[in-house]
Amino acid sequence: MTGETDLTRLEDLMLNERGFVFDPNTGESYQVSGTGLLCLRALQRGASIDEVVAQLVTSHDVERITVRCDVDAFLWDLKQLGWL
Amino acid sequence: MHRGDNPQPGASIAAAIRQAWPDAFIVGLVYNAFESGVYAAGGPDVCHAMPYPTAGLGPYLTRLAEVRAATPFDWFIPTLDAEIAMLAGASEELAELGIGVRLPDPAVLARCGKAQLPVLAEHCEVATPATAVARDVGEALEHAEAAGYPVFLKGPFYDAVLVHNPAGLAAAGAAILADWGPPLLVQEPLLGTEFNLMGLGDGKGGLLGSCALRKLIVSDKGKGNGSVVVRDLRLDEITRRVMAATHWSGPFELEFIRDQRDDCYRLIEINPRFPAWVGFPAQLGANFPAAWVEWMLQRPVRPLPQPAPGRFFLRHQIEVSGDMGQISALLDALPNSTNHDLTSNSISA
Amino acid sequence: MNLQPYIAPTIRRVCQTTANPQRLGRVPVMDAIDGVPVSRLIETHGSPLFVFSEANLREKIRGVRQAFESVYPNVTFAWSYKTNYLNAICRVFHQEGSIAEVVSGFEYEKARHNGIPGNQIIFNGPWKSVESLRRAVSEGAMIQVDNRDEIVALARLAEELQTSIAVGIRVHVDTGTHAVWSKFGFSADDGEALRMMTWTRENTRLRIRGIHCHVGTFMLDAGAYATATKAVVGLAIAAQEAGGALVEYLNLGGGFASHARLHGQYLPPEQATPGFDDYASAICSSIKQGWPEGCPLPKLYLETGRALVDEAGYLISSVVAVKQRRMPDANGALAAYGKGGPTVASAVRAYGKGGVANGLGSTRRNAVVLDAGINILYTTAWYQPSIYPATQTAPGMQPTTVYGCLCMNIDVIREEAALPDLKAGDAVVMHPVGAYNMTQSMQFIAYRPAVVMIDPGRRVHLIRRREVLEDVQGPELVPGHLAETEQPTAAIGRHEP
Repeated sequence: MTGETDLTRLEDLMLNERGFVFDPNTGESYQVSGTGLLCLRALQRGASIDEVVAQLVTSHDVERITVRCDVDAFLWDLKQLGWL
Repeated sequence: MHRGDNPQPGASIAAAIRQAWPDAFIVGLVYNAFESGVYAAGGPDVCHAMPYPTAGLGPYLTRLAEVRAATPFDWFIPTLDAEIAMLAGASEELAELGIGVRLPDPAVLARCGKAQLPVLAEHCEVATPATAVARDVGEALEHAEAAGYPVFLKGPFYDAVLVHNPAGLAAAGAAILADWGPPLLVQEPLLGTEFNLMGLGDGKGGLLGSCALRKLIVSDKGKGNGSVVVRDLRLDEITRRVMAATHWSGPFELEFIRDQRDDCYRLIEINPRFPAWVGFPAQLGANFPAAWVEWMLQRPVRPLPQPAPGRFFLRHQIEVSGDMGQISALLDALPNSTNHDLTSNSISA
Repeated sequence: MNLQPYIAPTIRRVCQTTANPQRLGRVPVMDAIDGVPVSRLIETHGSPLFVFSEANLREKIRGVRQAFESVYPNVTFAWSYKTNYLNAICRVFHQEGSIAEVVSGFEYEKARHNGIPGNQIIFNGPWKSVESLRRAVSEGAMIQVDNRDEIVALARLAEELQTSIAVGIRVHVDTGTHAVWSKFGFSADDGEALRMMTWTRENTRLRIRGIHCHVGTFMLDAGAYATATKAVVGLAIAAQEAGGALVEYLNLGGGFASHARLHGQYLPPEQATPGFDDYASAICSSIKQGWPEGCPLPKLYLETGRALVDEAGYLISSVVAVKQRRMPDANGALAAYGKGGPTVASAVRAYGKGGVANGLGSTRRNAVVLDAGINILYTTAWYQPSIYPATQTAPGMQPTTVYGCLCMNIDVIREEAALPDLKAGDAVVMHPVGAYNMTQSMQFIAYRPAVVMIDPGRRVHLIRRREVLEDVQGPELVPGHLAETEQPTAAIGRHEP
């Protein structure tokens, strides 16, 4: 927790390898997909959006534009949750 | 496996079996990761999430096979009405999966069902509250109009709501139909004291044991939050007749109201399973689940002692503790041994 | 490097009501129909595509015949045209020995076109045009009279032709378990049917030879047929005693349930749907018990449609878009069977704790848009088809709303189906959809899809091609003054006289 905000920081999220996410601030739990988990972990490490997209594209059978579209939507969800 | 408000029998059955065989390997099958019995001390050794009976026999059996492969078990005790309705008649399919089970005959189960109860009761010369079967809310309204409000409105497997007027009936009826589908049962509400009798049928018209209670404390959902053991030969006689008529095999619960108008028992429902209070007689030396397991294993079963009148139970809620990682494990699509411990960067760093 | 199949990054809130990924069961993959790969069917015939299994049709009709013929000496099945009157389908049933049951002049023409002689057509329905009656009479069809106006019309025809006409009479019965279908025929419960039988005998050249009673549709209680059959047998005996008719045949209609699933049906079809033997026993034992000793048993006609064709029909469709649908927090009291309980989130919110902004504060549900709509799945108004993924996908199932492709909010095929995470381009198979969807589908917004039939040798036959523009606008006429095609002008609201 920072002193200025009661929002959860990304690094405070508790998660496991099955993509279960617990927000210790709100007490809410979430399930993320495998690619969602990959994004979350990358963001926790401080990766940029471009790096996240690049990582997904190199490991999956998918076009870059599709990934970019989905990742931006995912990030929007995380913003809604106050995590970004 | 839930044991909070509106408790289910599973956790009590597990505890009673554990009481008889402390080393038994018990697999809990749950519909929800938030069922409290999953996390109770001395509870199941392992738990798995199951599809609802409404998903169908196929998916249910597929999942059972998957669970059995991950955590082998030999015998299966379904504990909820809708499960029993689905599984009755599927003993062979279960046997093919290597799962032993003793289930009521589908025809007998149908005769004991809510819609057909009045016919069985008449056959057994047992009084029942006046009950009308409705295909939809419109018909239920007609029946209620004819019988006069208030009436109990019931679903085929679950739910009973006391309604006082057409608006209340329409709302409750729509909710029950949405959850359980038709038919709706419109039943006269009786004033009187509630009695429950649990027993184990031997499949030949006899009993391996029984225990009768009078409710002392009734929750606003109509659940007995406290009950006392009673002995009334009339209850035993009614039970004897029901057993003789159905040759019931396995656990059951008869629900009665002792009508204050004439002091006669009226049979409200027959539940084809152990009640949630099955753990209480087990504490008094009448361990019905253990006897049932012996029976399934075709071992000799001594008749269970009748608990002494005057012994009572009060439902006592406690907090069981768990970890969100355990919730995560139950949410896993496939049973496996993946580590579900939760970690965070900031905490673990 | 080995590339993994891609599933989009998603996040869903976990609440008590959703805290069981197994709750809807795992739906198996259906990657082939009767041994023919779904992918190949789409490649050859496009998506969406209706597929019929000839083997299943034959298995069903043989099964129901076996069930009845093993308990009754004289029974004939009539194929219910309105359930599915694609000629290829009708001809399978006719090959299997079924005669035809039609409910309009149009269906009558179809049956004749399919080579069925008039005397092997049962002509039902509340409206039969005078022309169609005239043809049916001249060809000796088994007309089942529905109402007084029809009796009068037929009486007039008999006078004109100076002949007697053998007919059956349609009646309705209160079975006590299903709504009475009083739209059709005369009441067998209050004496109306008996009175009409004697009246007809005394006042017309019509000769009533049969009684027809179709108790209703999708009868999950076989016992209703026992009640109806007893009433019909009682009526036949009473009519004979009153000199009204010599009943030679009974027609118990159709209404046997298929393995479709009604909305709101808790137990799945494999538990809820009676078998053919149950229906056969209810009907045949009631006739045998009630029919006067020494009299030959009446001929029995049956017109079951849905139970014979529904499960033979599949609809292949493809996902065109994937959405996340925002759902209100589940209400409910029942944690057993997953019926709810207060959600974790609502409990948190009760303390005014924040942080959860809109969007994920409510639960979300997967949603997909398919390339087929409810205009070709009319039966989804009453039934929920099973929806199977056609390719191997992620193991987890999510409750998924399945939208149709129509530009209409009501176009929802399933409110909540268990499906894995799907992506655009993935195919799904819906089943059973063989009954009524062909005959009740409407051309709307898009062309209706092709229909193929897979024969028992796994050969795929096109039995109705996909529609083209000419099929839709062929019957249209454009008035002369609108025939010239002009570019629309910018002028607004000016009407030339």
